[in-house]
Amino acid sequence: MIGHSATRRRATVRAQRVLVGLAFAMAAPSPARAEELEYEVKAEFVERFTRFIEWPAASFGSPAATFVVCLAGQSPIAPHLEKLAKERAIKGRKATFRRVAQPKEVDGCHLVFIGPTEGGKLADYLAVTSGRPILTIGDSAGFAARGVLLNFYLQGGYVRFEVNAAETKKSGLQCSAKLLKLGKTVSLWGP
Amino acid sequence: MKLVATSIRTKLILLVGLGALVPLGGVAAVAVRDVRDIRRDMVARSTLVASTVAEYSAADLAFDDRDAAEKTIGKLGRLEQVEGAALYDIKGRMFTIHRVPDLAEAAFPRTIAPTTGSAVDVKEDHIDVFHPVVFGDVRYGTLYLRTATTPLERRIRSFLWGIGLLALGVVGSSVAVVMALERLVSRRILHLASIARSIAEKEDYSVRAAASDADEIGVLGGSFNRMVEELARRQNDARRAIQVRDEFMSIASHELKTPLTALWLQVQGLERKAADMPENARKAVRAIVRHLQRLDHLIGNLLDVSRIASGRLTIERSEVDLATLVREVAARFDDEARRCGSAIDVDAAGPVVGDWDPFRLEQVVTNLVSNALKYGREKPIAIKVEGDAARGRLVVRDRGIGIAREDVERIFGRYERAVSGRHYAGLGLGLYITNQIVAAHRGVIRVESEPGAGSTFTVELPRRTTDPPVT
Repeated sequence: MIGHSATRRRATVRAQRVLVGLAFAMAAPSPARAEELEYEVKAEFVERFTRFIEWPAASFGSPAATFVVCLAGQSPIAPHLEKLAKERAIKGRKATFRRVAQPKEVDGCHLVFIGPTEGGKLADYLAVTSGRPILTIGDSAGFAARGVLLNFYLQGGYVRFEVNAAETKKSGLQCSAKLLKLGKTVSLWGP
Repeated sequence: MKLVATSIRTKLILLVGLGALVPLGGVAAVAVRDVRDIRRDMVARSTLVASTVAEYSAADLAFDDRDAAEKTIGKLGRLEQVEGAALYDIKGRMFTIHRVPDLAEAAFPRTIAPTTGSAVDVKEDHIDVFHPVVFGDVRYGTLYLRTATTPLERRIRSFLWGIGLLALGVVGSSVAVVMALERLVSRRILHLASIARSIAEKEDYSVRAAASDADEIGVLGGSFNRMVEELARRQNDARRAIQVRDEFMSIASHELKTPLTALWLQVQGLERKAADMPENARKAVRAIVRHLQRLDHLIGNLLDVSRIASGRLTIERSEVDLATLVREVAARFDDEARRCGSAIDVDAAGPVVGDWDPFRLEQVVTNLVSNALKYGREKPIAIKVEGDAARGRLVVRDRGIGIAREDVERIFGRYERAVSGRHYAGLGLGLYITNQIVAAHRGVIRVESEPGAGSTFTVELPRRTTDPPVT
């Protein structure tokens, strides 16, 4: 992919604008650093998604229950998600970070970031999450079409995301229209 | 109150004007209120638009989606009044901008502090609205909306035009009402007044005002006409009464004169034989003569008055010396003057000759001298005759009771006397006849008098008929 690094670089520049705290990386970042920035942006987006999505009260066992952020498989986002869970409150709750290796371990997660390594087991993961208030986020082409609720992609140097509207509706998560209008809809609302 | 003193037309204008003030005031109040409401409405709409757009741009800012943000505020382009809008991020920097082509980007704030609250700033030609972009208690930035007030001003202007036309209509209809009322009331009353004036001036009692029972002025016209009819009838009655009286006077004085003439012949016969009579009989004859003279004088006056009334007073001119005439008359009053205790001083040296009626002139002098004796309170009487090239002048002055100022005009009228007939005998015809005789000679008679100090009568007569009348 010839255009890939160029795209990455533009995404990086964009990310610098969003994450001003990381502006020190402005001068000619190395490819590794660029990738780190991209995933930092994606992690930030993950947190922001939660601001525009409401989980049903039943998702949390008690008022003191934590918000569980999970990572299925491997992804460069891992440290950023871990950091996010450690440093920030999500939906007004303390957050915890958990790695998941098997689809059945997804139980108890409020948000699952499905890494590109899990493409083969995606159907199994979705079999567990579909129709339940668990926000699935993918980072691989075609994931949304296959049933993941939100899926990142890069366009014109910007981090963008797709929305599987039908699955989102089925999940029972209350997703703000403001968020939906930003995402590229990959499937129409189901009946 | 002064308003009463103004014309009905002015009153109508004032009243209708006051009446028009009420709707005009109402219209003005409505205009002021509506203009305020239109402005407030505009501000409210701008604020509403800003808050809605701000709401919808929260996610755009949250996910740093400039395309979406441009789309969101780009929708404002459909609103006519929106000149431009811009989103500022949480750092206060401009994130995205939408503007009409003729509005420079420089017109937008470069940065907006993220602490800026919701604010509306109404400028001369536009409204600035600042609205924080907030979602779920998190602030993402600020929306700036710039709305043109041109459509607002246009709306206000067209509204004010409408109001102005309405006010013009109110004023116009008020003027129309005044004109109509004037035609219906004021003009008709003035017409009535002009008829009244023409009756007074021309004594034409045949004119009539327009009368009807339809309204008050019509009723007034009817009453006015009845009054004119009554006036005409009374005028006629009065004329007839005067005519009857004058005829009666004429007949009566003639009837009285006839036996008087016969009586005179008898008395003159007695007078001639008086020398042979005893003293008391002579005395009686003298008394008879005196009373007969008086009776003759009174009847003569009545005859003169009826002649004057019927326009039959004739002047037979011949050459007369006024001085001689006055001396003769004064001499004739010697006995009476002595009886009254008033001395008569005659200053009539030179001849004052004119073309006058000697008999009538004698009447004038007699009347003036007998009046002076009558009202002279036993004080001396001065008579003076003088003349210049054009006229002769007779002045008779007494120092008697005088005439009150308010009576001076009256004394030359028929049957008029300045004092009660109870104290001073006579018919009150003397000065009237005198005045008429003087006027027939184209002369004048004047009186200067002061009550208690006496009166001065002055008669001036042109010497010849070709001389200009004395004024």
